[in-house]
Amino acid sequence: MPEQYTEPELLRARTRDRGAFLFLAPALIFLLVFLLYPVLWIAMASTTRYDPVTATARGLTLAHYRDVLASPAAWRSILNTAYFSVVYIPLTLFTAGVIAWLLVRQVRAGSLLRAVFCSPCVIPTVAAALIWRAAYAPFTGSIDRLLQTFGFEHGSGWPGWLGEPYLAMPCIALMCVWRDTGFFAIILLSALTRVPGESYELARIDGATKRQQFTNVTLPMCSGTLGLCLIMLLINVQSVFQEIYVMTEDGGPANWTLNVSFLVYRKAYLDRDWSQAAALSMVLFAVTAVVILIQNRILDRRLDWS
Amino acid sequence: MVVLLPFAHMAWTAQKPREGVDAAYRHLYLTHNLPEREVRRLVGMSQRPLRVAAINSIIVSTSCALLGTVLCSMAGYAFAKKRFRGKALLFDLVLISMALPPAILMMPLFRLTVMMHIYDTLLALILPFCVTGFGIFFMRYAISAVPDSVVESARLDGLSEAGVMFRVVLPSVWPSVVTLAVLAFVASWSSFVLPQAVTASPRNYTVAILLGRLMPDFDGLMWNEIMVVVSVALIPVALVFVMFSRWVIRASTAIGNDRTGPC
Repeated sequence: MPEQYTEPELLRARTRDRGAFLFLAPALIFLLVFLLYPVLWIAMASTTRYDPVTATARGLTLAHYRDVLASPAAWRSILNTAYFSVVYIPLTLFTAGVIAWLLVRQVRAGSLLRAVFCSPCVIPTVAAALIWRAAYAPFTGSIDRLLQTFGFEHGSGWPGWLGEPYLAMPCIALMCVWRDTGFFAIILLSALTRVPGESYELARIDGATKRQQFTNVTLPMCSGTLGLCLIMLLINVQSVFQEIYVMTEDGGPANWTLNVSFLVYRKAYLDRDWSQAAALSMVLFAVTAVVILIQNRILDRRLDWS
Repeated sequence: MVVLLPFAHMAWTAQKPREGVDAAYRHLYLTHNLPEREVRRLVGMSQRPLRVAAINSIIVSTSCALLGTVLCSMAGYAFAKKRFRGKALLFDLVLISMALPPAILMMPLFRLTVMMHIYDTLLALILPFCVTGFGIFFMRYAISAVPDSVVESARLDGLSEAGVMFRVVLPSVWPSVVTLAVLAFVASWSSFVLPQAVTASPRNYTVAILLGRLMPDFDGLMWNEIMVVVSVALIPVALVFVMFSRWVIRASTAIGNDRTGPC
């Protein structure tokens, strides 16, 4: 604390400090209990031979990490997660951005539309996944029906949506895009409404084209919010798991929808290998945590927290 | 025409997923031809498990939303407006808590609730899930938009720290508070994988857990029943959303606080 502080200021600073922990403590205690125990448990289970029935752990070993990372399924799941992200993240940001951009033009009349756009994000994941599973159903699903009404006939090259190896993951990703777009559109919209009109005015006077206005005015001014969106998108990506459970049930066809989260589930519940499942989730946890922390460091510089 | 065009486009994009949903529903109900009394049997309060589950869901989701929102707002306020040692470190902790993969959590949560003697009670469905890293993150983000001068002048007016937060700060970010409560309610209402791990008896099922338990019957063509439960799972959430959507949307002015922005 700098020396030039007067006594009342010092006192106030101290009381504020103490107050801070009173405000923090309840939430952090909850977070700590329900974070620390699982993390310790995962660390314990991943480095020992863990028996879920007797809940006993024996022997200290790192073999599970080696085994799980050497297994072809793990690499397959990592690739699949990347495949999912490649479809999901850009598409969600793009559609959310387009919707936000359209809405910002019509702020007053847009309130009902905003509610409409945001509505899928409150649908329970299971319900959304079930609805889309029904929609993707070959021949009888509403997507196939819709295509039929436009004159497309079922032929030999007809896609089987969730049954098609290359298409299944994008199909799931598309459902997630549909579910999450509205939420991110609202957040991006808030950033867009904060870009002052004079900035565009100035850019126009300087002779900037529409595209230059976008890259030099809109993007920099929304970059903090975009960073925030990226953190949330990343968390969404790594927790996709119920969706697969509902839509393809076992990560099929031929493991094409098996992502890391689902592999953890499969290792634990179908193979009954909790140690390997714990090792894999430890890796997933560590990677996600590091990426989030790095993103937050970048975000900190962009956002005004104070 | 030029003004209307974006509207047409918006309506078209909004309509598309909607239509898909409606068609899926129509198709399901039509092809399986569920008689109306069947629907009434499932939805209507004659089906006991569903009624119990609906009541449980309301209790659990409401407590989760209220408790979580209050605690997350308090923590968010401290992170946004207070100086204290270890702030960056604690906030890292909050962020890291979001990175836990949900699939593995079933086992440790099961063990933890057994240890805490809350296994197979409604408390086990509330306590582990009410405070989320996202909630704290979200409230910090929202409250940081409140100017420091507002907080300072409230303090000078002699308000206690709790008074500053509950009577000055929270009302000024009210849309965000409501948004978080709605999101927490929805998340609690719809999650079923982890809640499944901490409940055993049907009297503690929520609607989402019930839905999850129906799923092994996927291949038994239980689609109509599943969809009825889906509707039951959906309607309250839709109601909550419609009731509060104005607030959710107004929250957009509270978020989006880039340093390069005008404020």
